[in-house]
Amino acid sequence: ALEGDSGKPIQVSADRLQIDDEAGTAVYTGDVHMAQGSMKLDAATVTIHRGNSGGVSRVTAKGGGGTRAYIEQKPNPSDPLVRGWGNTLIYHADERRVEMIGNAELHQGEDTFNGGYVQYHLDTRQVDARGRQSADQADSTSGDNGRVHMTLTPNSASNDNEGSSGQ
Amino acid sequence: MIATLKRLAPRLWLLLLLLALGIGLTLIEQRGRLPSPTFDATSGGAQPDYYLEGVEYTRFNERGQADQTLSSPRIAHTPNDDVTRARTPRVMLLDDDGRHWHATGKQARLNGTDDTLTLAGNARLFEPDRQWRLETDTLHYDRNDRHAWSDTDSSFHRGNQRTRGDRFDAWLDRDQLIIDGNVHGHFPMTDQSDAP
Repeated sequence: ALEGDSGKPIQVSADRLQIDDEAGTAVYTGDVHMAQGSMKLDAATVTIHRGNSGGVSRVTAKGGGGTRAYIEQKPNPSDPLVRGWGNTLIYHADERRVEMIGNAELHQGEDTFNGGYVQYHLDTRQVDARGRQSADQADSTSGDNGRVHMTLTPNSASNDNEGSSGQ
Repeated sequence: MIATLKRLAPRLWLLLLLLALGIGLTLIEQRGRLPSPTFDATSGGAQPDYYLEGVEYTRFNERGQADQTLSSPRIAHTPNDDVTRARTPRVMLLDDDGRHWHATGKQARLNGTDDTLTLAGNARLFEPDRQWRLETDTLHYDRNDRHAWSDTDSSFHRGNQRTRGDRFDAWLDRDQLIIDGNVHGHFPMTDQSDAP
Protein backbone atom coordinates (compact mmCIF):
# COMPACT_ATOMS: atom_id res chain seq x y z
CA ALA A 1 0.00 0.00 0.00
CA LEU A 2 1.11 3.54 -0.49
CA GLU A 3 3.24 4.97 2.28
CA GLY A 4 0.94 6.38 4.96
CA ASP A 5 -2.24 4.78 3.58
CA SER A 6 -2.94 2.98 6.82
CA GLY A 7 -2.61 6.22 8.76
CA LYS A 8 -5.11 8.06 6.55
CA PRO A 9 -8.70 8.50 7.81
CA ILE A 10 -11.28 6.01 6.57
CA GLN A 11 -14.24 7.54 4.78
CA VAL A 12 -17.41 5.47 4.38
CA SER A 13 -20.71 6.21 2.69
CA ALA A 14 -23.75 3.91 2.56
CA ASP A 15 -27.52 3.88 2.88
CA ARG A 16 -27.51 2.44 6.40
CA LEU A 17 -25.24 1.58 9.30
CA GLN A 18 -26.04 -0.86 12.09
CA ILE A 19 -23.65 -1.03 15.05
CA ASP A 20 -23.82 -3.97 17.45
CA ASP A 21 -21.40 -3.16 20.23
CA GLU A 22 -21.84 -6.51 21.91
CA ALA A 23 -21.04 -8.47 18.74
CA GLY A 24 -18.31 -5.94 17.87
CA THR A 25 -19.63 -5.35 14.37
CA ALA A 26 -20.57 -2.39 12.24
CA VAL A 27 -22.60 -3.37 9.17
CA TYR A 28 -22.96 -0.91 6.30
CA THR A 29 -25.57 -1.73 3.69
CA GLY A 30 -26.73 -0.17 0.42
CA ASP A 31 -24.26 1.20 -2.18
CA VAL A 32 -21.30 1.09 0.21
CA HIS A 33 -18.13 3.00 -0.66
CA MET A 34 -15.12 2.88 1.62
CA ALA A 35 -11.78 4.59 1.08
CA GLN A 36 -8.52 4.87 3.00
CA GLY A 37 -5.74 6.61 1.14
CA SER A 38 -5.26 4.75 -2.14
CA MET A 39 -7.37 1.76 -1.07
CA LYS A 40 -10.98 1.82 -2.22
CA LEU A 41 -13.75 -0.70 -1.67
CA ASP A 42 -17.23 -0.82 -3.26
CA ALA A 43 -19.85 -3.38 -2.23
CA ALA A 44 -23.51 -3.91 -1.42
CA THR A 45 -22.74 -4.85 2.19
CA VAL A 46 -19.63 -4.27 4.29
CA THR A 47 -19.23 -5.76 7.76
CA ILE A 48 -16.44 -4.45 9.94
CA HIS A 49 -15.40 -6.79 12.74
CA ARG A 50 -13.61 -5.22 15.71
CA GLY A 51 -10.80 -7.16 17.35
CA ASN A 52 -10.20 -7.44 21.09
CA SER A 53 -7.99 -4.36 20.95
CA GLY A 54 -10.97 -2.44 19.60
CA GLY A 55 -9.38 -1.92 16.21
CA VAL A 56 -10.49 -3.45 12.90
CA SER A 57 -9.63 -7.13 12.67
CA ARG A 58 -11.54 -8.04 9.51
CA VAL A 59 -13.63 -6.36 6.80
CA THR A 60 -16.05 -8.56 4.85
CA ALA A 61 -17.53 -7.08 1.68
CA LYS A 62 -20.27 -8.77 -0.35
CA GLY A 63 -21.52 -7.90 -3.80
CA GLY A 64 -25.21 -7.81 -4.59
CA GLY A 65 -27.69 -7.40 -7.42
CA GLY A 66 -25.38 -9.17 -9.85
CA THR A 67 -22.44 -6.93 -9.02
CA ARG A 68 -19.34 -8.32 -7.35
CA ALA A 69 -17.56 -6.53 -4.55
CA TYR A 70 -14.57 -4.52 -5.79
CA ILE A 71 -11.31 -3.41 -4.21
CA GLU A 72 -8.44 -1.39 -5.59
CA GLN A 73 -5.16 -0.22 -4.17
CA LYS A 74 -1.95 1.42 -5.38
CA PRO A 75 1.03 -0.55 -4.13
CA ASN A 76 3.54 2.10 -5.06
CA PRO A 77 3.47 5.54 -6.65
CA SER A 78 5.22 4.14 -9.70
CA ASP A 79 3.13 0.94 -9.90
CA PRO A 80 -0.24 0.52 -11.61
CA LEU A 81 -3.36 -0.03 -9.50
CA VAL A 82 -4.05 -3.53 -8.22
CA ARG A 83 -7.74 -4.28 -8.70
CA GLY A 84 -9.73 -7.22 -7.35
CA TRP A 85 -13.31 -8.53 -7.66
CA GLY A 86 -15.22 -11.30 -5.97
CA ASN A 87 -18.66 -12.27 -4.77
CA THR A 88 -17.10 -11.88 -1.34
CA LEU A 89 -13.96 -10.00 -0.37
CA ILE A 90 -12.36 -10.46 3.03
CA TYR A 91 -9.65 -8.07 4.17
CA HIS A 92 -7.57 -9.37 7.10
CA ALA A 93 -6.15 -6.25 8.76
CA ASP A 94 -3.43 -7.90 10.83
CA GLU A 95 -2.04 -10.09 8.05
CA ARG A 96 -2.74 -7.39 5.45
CA ARG A 97 -4.13 -9.81 2.90
CA VAL A 98 -7.32 -9.81 0.84
CA GLU A 99 -9.26 -12.94 -0.06
CA MET A 100 -11.47 -12.85 -3.17
CA ILE A 101 -13.99 -15.67 -2.98
CA GLY A 102 -16.38 -16.76 -5.74
CA ASN A 103 -16.02 -15.41 -9.25
CA ALA A 104 -12.66 -14.11 -8.13
CA GLU A 105 -10.52 -11.90 -10.34
CA LEU A 106 -7.35 -9.89 -9.78
CA HIS A 107 -5.58 -7.47 -12.10
CA GLN A 108 -2.02 -6.68 -11.16
CA GLY A 109 -0.84 -4.32 -13.83
CA GLU A 110 -1.05 -6.30 -17.07
CA ASP A 111 -1.33 -9.67 -15.30
CA THR A 112 -4.74 -11.12 -14.55
CA PHE A 113 -5.83 -14.02 -12.36
CA ASN A 114 -9.30 -15.64 -12.47
CA GLY A 115 -10.67 -18.53 -10.46
CA GLY A 116 -12.92 -19.57 -7.63
CA TYR A 117 -10.51 -18.11 -5.12
CA VAL A 118 -7.71 -15.54 -5.32
CA GLN A 119 -5.69 -14.21 -2.44
CA TYR A 120 -3.48 -11.10 -2.56
CA HIS A 121 -0.87 -10.14 0.07
CA LEU A 122 -0.70 -6.34 0.22
CA ASP A 123 2.88 -6.00 1.40
CA THR A 124 4.60 -8.81 -0.54
CA ARG A 125 2.20 -8.46 -3.50
CA GLN A 126 2.10 -12.26 -3.66
CA VAL A 127 -0.93 -13.77 -5.41
CA ASP A 128 -2.39 -17.22 -4.62
CA ALA A 129 -5.14 -18.47 -6.90
CA ARG A 130 -7.28 -21.58 -6.81
CA GLY A 131 -9.89 -22.97 -9.17
CA ARG A 132 -12.35 -23.80 -6.47
CA GLN A 133 -13.72 -21.30 -3.95
CA SER A 134 -12.63 -23.43 -1.05
CA ALA A 135 -10.42 -26.50 -0.70
CA ASP A 136 -13.36 -28.80 -0.02
CA GLN A 137 -15.70 -27.42 -2.63
CA ALA A 138 -16.68 -29.72 -5.52
CA ASP A 139 -15.44 -28.71 -8.98
CA SER A 140 -18.88 -28.25 -10.45
CA THR A 141 -19.92 -25.52 -8.07
CA SER A 142 -16.94 -23.26 -8.65
CA GLY A 143 -18.03 -22.70 -12.24
CA ASP A 144 -15.64 -22.15 -15.04
CA ASN A 145 -14.52 -25.84 -14.89
CA GLY A 146 -12.76 -25.32 -11.52
CA ARG A 147 -9.50 -24.16 -12.98
CA VAL A 148 -7.36 -21.07 -12.57
CA HIS A 149 -6.81 -18.78 -15.53
CA MET A 150 -3.81 -16.52 -15.51
CA THR A 151 -2.54 -14.06 -18.06
CA LEU A 152 1.01 -13.05 -17.32
CA THR A 153 2.40 -10.34 -19.56
CA PRO A 154 6.15 -10.64 -20.11
CA ASN A 155 7.84 -7.52 -19.11
CA SER A 156 10.93 -6.81 -21.18
CA ALA A 157 12.30 -4.25 -18.73
CA SER A 158 12.25 -6.12 -15.45
CA ASN A 159 11.01 -9.39 -14.08
CA ASP A 160 8.20 -8.16 -11.80
CA ASN A 161 6.20 -11.34 -11.68
CA GLU A 162 8.06 -12.67 -8.59
CA GLY A 163 6.00 -14.54 -6.00
CA SER A 164 3.01 -15.47 -8.25
CA SER A 165 1.88 -19.01 -7.61
CA GLY A 166 -1.21 -20.86 -8.85
CA GLN A 167 -2.63 -24.17 -7.74
CA MET B 1 -64.10 77.33 32.80
CA ILE B 2 -65.46 76.80 36.35
CA ALA B 3 -68.51 79.00 35.54
CA THR B 4 -69.26 76.81 32.54
CA LEU B 5 -69.09 73.59 34.59
CA LYS B 6 -71.49 75.13 37.15
CA ARG B 7 -74.00 75.90 34.49
CA LEU B 8 -74.04 72.20 33.21
CA ALA B 9 -77.38 70.59 34.06
CA PRO B 10 -77.37 68.05 36.93
CA ARG B 11 -78.63 65.48 34.46
CA LEU B 12 -75.43 65.74 32.42
CA TRP B 13 -73.40 65.21 35.63
CA LEU B 14 -75.39 62.10 36.32
CA LEU B 15 -74.70 60.81 32.80
CA LEU B 16 -70.94 61.40 33.18
CA LEU B 17 -70.99 59.60 36.54
CA LEU B 18 -72.81 56.60 35.05
CA LEU B 19 -70.32 56.43 32.17
CA ALA B 20 -67.35 56.45 34.57
CA LEU B 21 -68.99 53.73 36.68
CA GLY B 22 -69.58 51.57 33.58
CA ILE B 23 -65.99 51.84 32.43
CA GLY B 24 -64.74 50.99 35.89
CA LEU B 25 -66.92 47.91 36.16
CA THR B 26 -65.87 46.71 32.68
CA LEU B 27 -62.22 47.00 33.62
CA ILE B 28 -62.79 45.11 36.84
CA GLU B 29 -64.75 42.39 35.02
CA GLN B 30 -62.02 42.09 32.33
CA ARG B 31 -59.33 41.60 34.88
CA GLY B 32 -60.29 38.01 35.34
CA ARG B 33 -59.49 37.39 31.67
CA LEU B 34 -56.30 39.41 31.36
CA PRO B 35 -53.44 37.09 30.31
CA SER B 36 -51.99 35.84 33.61
CA PRO B 37 -48.26 35.10 33.49
CA THR B 38 -48.62 31.94 31.29
CA PHE B 39 -45.71 29.54 31.06
CA ASP B 40 -44.31 31.07 27.77
CA ALA B 41 -43.37 28.80 24.80
CA THR B 42 -43.29 25.55 26.72
CA SER B 43 -46.92 25.61 27.71
CA GLY B 44 -47.91 25.45 24.06
CA GLY B 45 -50.74 27.80 24.64
CA ALA B 46 -52.65 25.34 26.86
CA GLN B 47 -53.37 26.46 30.40
CA PRO B 48 -51.20 24.57 32.95
CA ASP B 49 -52.85 23.28 36.09
CA TYR B 50 -49.54 23.63 37.89
CA TYR B 51 -45.95 24.64 37.31
CA LEU B 52 -42.83 24.11 39.40
CA GLU B 53 -39.48 25.81 39.48
CA GLY B 54 -36.06 24.35 40.21
CA VAL B 55 -37.21 20.79 39.69
CA GLU B 56 -35.46 17.40 40.11
CA TYR B 57 -37.92 14.74 38.94
CA THR B 58 -36.91 11.10 39.51
CA ARG B 59 -38.59 7.89 38.38
CA PHE B 60 -37.80 4.39 39.59
CA ASN B 61 -37.88 1.06 37.79
CA GLU B 62 -39.35 -2.16 39.15
CA ARG B 63 -36.05 -2.87 40.94
CA GLY B 64 -36.21 0.41 42.79
CA GLN B 65 -33.41 1.98 40.78
CA ALA B 66 -33.61 5.61 39.70
CA ASP B 67 -33.75 4.90 35.99
CA GLN B 68 -34.91 8.32 34.75
CA THR B 69 -34.28 11.71 36.25
CA LEU B 70 -35.06 15.13 34.84
CA SER B 71 -33.93 18.44 36.24
CA SER B 72 -35.19 21.74 34.91
CA PRO B 73 -35.43 25.34 36.03
CA ARG B 74 -39.16 25.26 35.27
CA ILE B 75 -41.77 22.68 34.32
CA ALA B 76 -45.51 23.00 33.66
CA HIS B 77 -48.19 20.32 33.46
CA THR B 78 -51.24 20.70 31.21
CA PRO B 79 -54.23 18.53 32.23
CA ASN B 80 -55.95 18.43 28.86
CA ASP B 81 -53.18 16.32 27.29
CA ASP B 82 -51.41 15.12 30.47
CA VAL B 83 -48.12 16.52 29.16
CA THR B 84 -45.39 17.93 31.36
CA ARG B 85 -43.21 20.47 29.61
CA ALA B 86 -39.76 21.40 30.87
CA ARG B 87 -37.44 24.20 29.95
CA THR B 88 -33.70 23.45 29.26
CA PRO B 89 -34.02 19.97 30.77
CA ARG B 90 -31.12 17.72 31.84
CA VAL B 91 -32.17 14.08 31.65
CA MET B 92 -30.37 10.99 32.98
CA LEU B 93 -31.33 7.52 31.77
CA LEU B 94 -30.06 4.29 33.30
CA ASP B 95 -29.66 1.15 31.15
CA ASP B 96 -29.62 -2.51 32.18
CA ASP B 97 -25.83 -2.58 32.27
CA GLY B 98 -25.86 0.25 34.80
CA ARG B 99 -24.56 2.79 32.30
CA HIS B 100 -25.84 6.37 32.56
CA TRP B 101 -26.97 8.16 29.42
CA HIS B 102 -27.28 11.94 29.60
CA ALA B 103 -29.69 13.89 27.40
CA THR B 104 -30.28 17.63 27.03
CA GLY B 105 -32.30 19.93 24.81
CA LYS B 106 -34.00 23.31 24.74
CA GLN B 107 -37.35 21.86 25.78
CA ALA B 108 -38.71 18.53 26.92
CA ARG B 109 -42.20 17.04 26.75
CA LEU B 110 -43.02 14.14 29.04
CA ASN B 111 -46.13 12.43 27.81
CA GLY B 112 -47.94 10.86 30.73
CA THR B 113 -50.18 8.62 28.67
CA ASP B 114 -47.56 6.67 26.72
CA ASP B 115 -44.44 7.19 28.85
CA THR B 116 -42.44 8.90 26.13
CA LEU B 117 -40.12 11.85 26.35
CA THR B 118 -39.29 14.27 23.53
CA LEU B 119 -36.34 16.63 23.61
CA ALA B 120 -36.69 19.42 21.08
CA GLY B 121 -34.06 21.93 19.99
CA ASN B 122 -30.34 21.02 19.95
CA ALA B 123 -31.04 17.62 21.42
CA ARG B 124 -27.97 15.72 22.67
CA LEU B 125 -27.59 12.15 23.94
CA PHE B 126 -24.30 11.19 25.55
CA GLU B 127 -23.03 7.87 26.97
CA PRO B 128 -19.69 8.58 28.63
CA ASP B 129 -18.44 4.99 29.14
CA ARG B 130 -18.10 4.36 25.41
CA GLN B 131 -17.83 8.01 24.39
CA TRP B 132 -21.03 7.73 22.36
CA ARG B 133 -22.55 11.08 21.58
CA LEU B 134 -25.54 11.93 19.36
CA GLU B 135 -26.27 15.42 18.09
CA THR B 136 -29.63 16.08 16.48
CA ASP B 137 -32.54 18.52 16.62
CA THR B 138 -35.32 16.40 18.10
CA LEU B 139 -34.81 13.23 20.11
CA HIS B 140 -37.56 10.87 21.29
CA TYR B 141 -37.29 8.31 24.07
CA ASP B 142 -39.70 5.51 24.92
CA ARG B 143 -39.18 4.33 28.47
CA ASN B 144 -41.07 1.10 27.86
CA ASP B 145 -38.43 -0.44 25.60
CA ARG B 146 -35.64 2.06 26.31
CA HIS B 147 -35.61 3.07 22.69
CA ALA B 148 -34.16 6.47 21.72
CA TRP B 149 -34.71 7.68 18.15
CA SER B 150 -34.52 10.74 15.98
CA ASP B 151 -36.08 11.49 12.62
CA THR B 152 -34.02 14.63 12.13
CA ASP B 153 -30.46 14.93 10.77
CA SER B 154 -28.27 13.06 13.21
CA SER B 155 -24.54 13.12 13.84
CA PHE B 156 -23.22 10.21 15.87
CA HIS B 157 -19.78 10.58 17.44
CA ARG B 158 -17.70 7.83 18.99
CA GLY B 159 -14.50 9.25 20.34
CA ASN B 160 -12.98 11.06 17.37
CA GLN B 161 -15.08 9.17 14.81
CA ARG B 162 -18.29 10.61 13.42
CA THR B 163 -21.10 9.30 11.26
CA ARG B 164 -24.02 11.29 10.04
CA GLY B 165 -27.36 10.09 8.75
CA ASP B 166 -30.95 11.17 8.22
CA ARG B 167 -32.33 9.07 11.10
CA PHE B 168 -31.04 7.48 14.26
CA ASP B 169 -32.20 4.61 16.50
CA ALA B 170 -30.61 3.27 19.66
CA TRP B 171 -31.76 0.59 22.09
CA LEU B 172 -30.06 1.42 25.35
CA ASP B 173 -30.25 -2.12 26.71
CA ARG B 174 -29.28 -3.91 23.54
CA ASP B 175 -26.00 -2.13 22.68
CA GLN B 176 -27.34 -1.62 19.19
CA LEU B 177 -27.82 1.46 17.12
CA ILE B 178 -28.84 2.19 13.55
CA ILE B 179 -28.06 5.22 11.44
CA ASP B 180 -30.18 5.32 8.34
CA GLY B 181 -30.30 7.37 5.13
CA ASN B 182 -27.41 9.07 3.39
CA VAL B 183 -24.83 7.68 5.83
CA HIS B 184 -21.36 9.23 5.78
CA GLY B 185 -18.63 8.16 8.22
CA HIS B 186 -15.25 9.70 8.95
CA PHE B 187 -12.74 7.69 10.98
CA PRO B 188 -9.37 9.31 11.68
CA MET B 189 -6.75 6.61 12.33
CA THR B 190 -4.77 7.99 15.25
CA ASP B 191 -4.11 4.32 16.14
CA GLN B 192 -5.66 0.92 15.31
CA SER B 193 -8.18 1.12 18.10
CA ASP B 194 -9.75 4.07 16.40
CA ALA B 195 -10.93 2.16 13.37
CA PRO B 196 -14.75 2.15 12.70
